[in-house]
Amino acid sequence: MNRRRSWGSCAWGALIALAACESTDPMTTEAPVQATGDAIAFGIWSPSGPDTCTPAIHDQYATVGPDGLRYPTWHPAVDPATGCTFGHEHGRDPSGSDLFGEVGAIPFGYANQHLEEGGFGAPRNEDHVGHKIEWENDLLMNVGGAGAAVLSIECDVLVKLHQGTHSPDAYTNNLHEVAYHVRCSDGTGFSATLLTPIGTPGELVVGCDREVHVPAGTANPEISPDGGGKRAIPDVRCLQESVLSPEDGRPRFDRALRESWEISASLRRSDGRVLAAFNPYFQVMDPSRYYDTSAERALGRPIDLCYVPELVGEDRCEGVADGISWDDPRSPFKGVRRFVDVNGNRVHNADGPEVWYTNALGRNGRTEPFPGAIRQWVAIRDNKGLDIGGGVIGRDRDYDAPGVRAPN
Amino acid sequence: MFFLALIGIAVPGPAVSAQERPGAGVWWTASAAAHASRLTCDLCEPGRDLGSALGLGIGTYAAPNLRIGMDLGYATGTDDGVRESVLSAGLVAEIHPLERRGLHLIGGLGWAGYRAEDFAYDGVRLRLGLGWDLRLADTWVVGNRLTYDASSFGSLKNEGEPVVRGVGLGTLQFGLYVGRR
Repeated sequence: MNRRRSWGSCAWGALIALAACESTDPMTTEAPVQATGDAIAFGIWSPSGPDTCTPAIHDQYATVGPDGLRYPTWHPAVDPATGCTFGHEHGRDPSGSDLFGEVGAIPFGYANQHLEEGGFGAPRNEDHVGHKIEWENDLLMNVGGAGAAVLSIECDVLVKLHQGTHSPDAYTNNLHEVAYHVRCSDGTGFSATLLTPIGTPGELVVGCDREVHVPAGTANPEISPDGGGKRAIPDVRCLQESVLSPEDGRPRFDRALRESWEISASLRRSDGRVLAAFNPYFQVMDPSRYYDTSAERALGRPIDLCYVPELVGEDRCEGVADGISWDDPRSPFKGVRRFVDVNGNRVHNADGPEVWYTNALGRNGRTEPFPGAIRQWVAIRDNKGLDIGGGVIGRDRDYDAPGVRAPN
Repeated sequence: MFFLALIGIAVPGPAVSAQERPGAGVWWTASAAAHASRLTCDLCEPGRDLGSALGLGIGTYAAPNLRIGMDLGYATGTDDGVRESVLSAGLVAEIHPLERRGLHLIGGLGWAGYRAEDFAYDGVRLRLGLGWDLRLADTWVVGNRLTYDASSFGSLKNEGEPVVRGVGLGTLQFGLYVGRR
């Protein structure tokens, strides 16, 4: 597979000290090896409830971003050195991705960090546990509506989305950080890190009826722009239809409790021309919430349904013990079953260059850095007409591990 | 069809001699064949799936052992749920190199067009092959034919947009024909 250019490499391991995490990323050639400070996203996690790891152990899992700041990054749910549990997981270990050598450890919160510096009028920071990684190597893509019957294109895909499914954040807030790296055998490729607006701020789309848009409050930040795509989140009527009162009498949690965040993201030049565009759908089964205006903060908790007499021991409630709270590791509703529909990958950068600097929203792309700019990499290519898409990654994976629980 | 085709090879029967052929006038054939085609390029799916093909040929005699004319063909098959088809048209020549034998060599030049969903490829097509005439009665013949069509240097387009250049198309066909000589 073509490897047009490396844009990041930061070897790290479970217990490798930060000082040993040396970047060779062209994106960061000017970045210091040693951290010059901590990002806002660093150090914000602390244990609660049954979590047994300390913040110090957690903060060992860090990487230095291109800006020289220290960021949290992927770590296992259980610290291999001490056996302590963090209570949350970040998805698939990115070190197995063929792109890891190029991309390196993904700094969580990098676009959030630079949002205001790039001219946006308000901050947008996200919690730690919502950063979720997924990847696949040699993914056979569909091309031009003909599947893989005519052209055979394989891609390595490594993605990270902040997708919290435990709090009311996504009811109203549509700005979420995505890191998206793709390299395909036809030369299509790009690495994008940005805060992308997903759907309309202040409203959600009902998961079981995508035509229904529900105003859910004021977005934070209030000036969040509209985005393409949608955040489809189950509401109480979805539970009513498929779990509490299904037509055939058989409750199906998976039919009701499924979040689909459908992204329509792009990197654009300062003149508005699209450099790269992608529209993956990030899907979560068993989220620990559903939208219910009758509940405090509109947070319905699926685990509570397991104690409705008709649902005891049924479907996802099978084996659930009495009295389990929504944030208990024994609850099946903690968002550990996820997958990504990769969908389209478009590149319009035939004239180059490969390196572009955009603001944190992926806009105002220029060839020279500017305050708050994020370095993006786009292959010198125009794949217009190829319409490379499709491919589902992670459908059969389950990231449950000892100690993992909502909020996750 | 294939069974008949195999019988045709195994039991040649009386060959049509040059003397017995009219050697003049109009000839035509209609054919049915199995075909396998594939695009060739760096990104092209390497698999070659079987399909079926129909063809028509019509022409006249340039010499007692040389037929010239035009042919039309349509071949189609399904790959991973996608229907692929190859259309072809062109000039054809068939020569009997040996007297009193049904064996003939086939050559042709024309156009080939590949279609699958919104993908399209068009190119100049070169045909090479061989056939074996078996006389039925008077001027009627049946026979077997093996042909290979090749075209190259074309562009594969998707919704009219060139997406891969330097693409080749190869189509192998084997089947039966019936016609009048």
